Amino acid sequence: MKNLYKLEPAVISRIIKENPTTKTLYLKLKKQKDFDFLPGQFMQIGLPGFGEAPMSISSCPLKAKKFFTLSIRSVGRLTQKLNTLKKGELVYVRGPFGNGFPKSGNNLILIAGGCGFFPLKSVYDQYRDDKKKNMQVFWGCRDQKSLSFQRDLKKIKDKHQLNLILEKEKMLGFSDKPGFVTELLQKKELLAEPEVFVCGPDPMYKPVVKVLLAKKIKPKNIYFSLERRMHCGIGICQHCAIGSKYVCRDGPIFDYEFLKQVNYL
Amino acid sequence: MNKKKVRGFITELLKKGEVYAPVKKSGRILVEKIDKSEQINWSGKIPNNTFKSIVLPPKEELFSWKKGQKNINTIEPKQKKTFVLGINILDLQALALLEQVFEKDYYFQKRRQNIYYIGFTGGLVSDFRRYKVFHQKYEEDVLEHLIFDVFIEKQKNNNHLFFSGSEKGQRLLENNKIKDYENIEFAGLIPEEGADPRIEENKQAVLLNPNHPLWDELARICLGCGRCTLDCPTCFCFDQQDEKGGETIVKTRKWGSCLFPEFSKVAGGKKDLETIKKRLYFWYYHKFVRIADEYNYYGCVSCMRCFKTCPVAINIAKNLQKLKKAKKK
Repeated sequence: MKNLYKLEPAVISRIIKENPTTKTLYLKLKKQKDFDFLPGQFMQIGLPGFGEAPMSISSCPLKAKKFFTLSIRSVGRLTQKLNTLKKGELVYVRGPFGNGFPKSGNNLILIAGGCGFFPLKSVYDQYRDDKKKNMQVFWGCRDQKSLSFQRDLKKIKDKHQLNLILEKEKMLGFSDKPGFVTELLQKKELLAEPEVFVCGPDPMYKPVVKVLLAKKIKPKNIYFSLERRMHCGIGICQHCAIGSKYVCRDGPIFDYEFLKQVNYL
Repeated sequence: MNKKKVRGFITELLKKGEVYAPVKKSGRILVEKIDKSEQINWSGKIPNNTFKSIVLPPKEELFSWKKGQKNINTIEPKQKKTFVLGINILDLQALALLEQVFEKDYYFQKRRQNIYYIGFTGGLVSDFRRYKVFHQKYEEDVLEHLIFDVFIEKQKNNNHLFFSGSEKGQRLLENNKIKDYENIEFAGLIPEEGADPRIEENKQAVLLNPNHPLWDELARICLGCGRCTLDCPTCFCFDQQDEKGGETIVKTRKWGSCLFPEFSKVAGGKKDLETIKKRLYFWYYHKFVRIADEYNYYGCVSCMRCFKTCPVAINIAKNLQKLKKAKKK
């Protein structure tokens, strides 16, 4: 019987400093060739003595056989420690866990708040070179200092539609004035009949939904990624229960209808 | 089979491994390790503590890691041969639920291989009356839908009937020269005709009443001490934690409680269940909605331990009645 709680070592093969508090760690497992994941799925990452925590995978699933990345913002003891590690050092992981985002049609809208872009980056990269796919990215962030993947912004903007807005400042070439992501959503014309994937802090979800529904997006096509405390990752420990489901096992991606039903939205 | 023979059987078990059974101690009945069959309390009363701690220890070690070492080592669960005696029907139902929940749990399953569940009743129908079971009805085929290895039924004339509920149980009886037993074929937790309709009734009562004034009433008096969750046989949530000790770090897991404020805390401090009111609803939801949805089974076996242990006497049976009445309005 497999011990599903067992963390396996993964070596850090590359580190990218995203901003003063966030790094993207490129990780390789011993059997990386056998690894596979869906965008939206997460890994439990840990360090002995520092516990473990769930982190969404931020890299392209098409590259899963070579590496995967976890983008880590220092908010607690574990993440602070992770962000001091050097290339070649080990972290410990298990997973992937969760359901991942569903398959989508030709029109896809990605809406992110802050670090919520991490799992959506995985979705974006999966479809980046798919000529049939039209993508719109909406991303709200506090300020330029807290933005990640700045090196990719221009490419996303040139290839697809990138709508970026910062709460505290404007950003030359990307956003004219400060504000919230909902303002951009209201202003822009949205792709027709799209699937919409949303990831960000909880308080963002209700206002985003309000705009999307007002713009006649079908509720059944809206999906959200949720963050919850987790200990087991396999639907036992109860910490992440939402209604009769578990964010770790049945999520972290849930559709509008379920979240409405459990009074989350 | 007479009482003497039953005692003889227990004496044999004591030679083969550890035996846990209900024991009377200063007016309370507690499940404890025993050394003599005379210690056992055969009253059939629900013990104050649960049987769950035997199969799901309050704290256990999962992994260890030594400084400088690459891999993390699994700490294999060391479970001596253990006989858990005198488990009443309600606690067997609770253990059956744990069996489902921990189906993929390495530690639980490994440990369970060496644990024998030995149920007991002094009369099933009367047990159901005596326990004041508030939300299930007695069915004659109750044993077919329980998970146990051996079951002992004491009849009115002091005769004892033996039943086996698993191959493991059968072997145990045969090896102890008990040939006169009936084998009960497990027919699944849920009877063929469907689950107890009260499971659905209770589910609706909680599901439809998240805004009932009851939750405010309870929130005003509940101390959030978590004693109900410790004494509940169907509470099984846990926390994992790394414990530092010199050169070795050990990952442990401990019983948790959804009534504690940190239960839902994520990095950065946000809590989904930030009030005691939300946490109480979450607890009832687990018992009556989530377990019902997931397993179509009892998430509360109506043992009333939570009421008995509660410092402010929160009565789950009465609360459920209130919610049911509200639903009917």
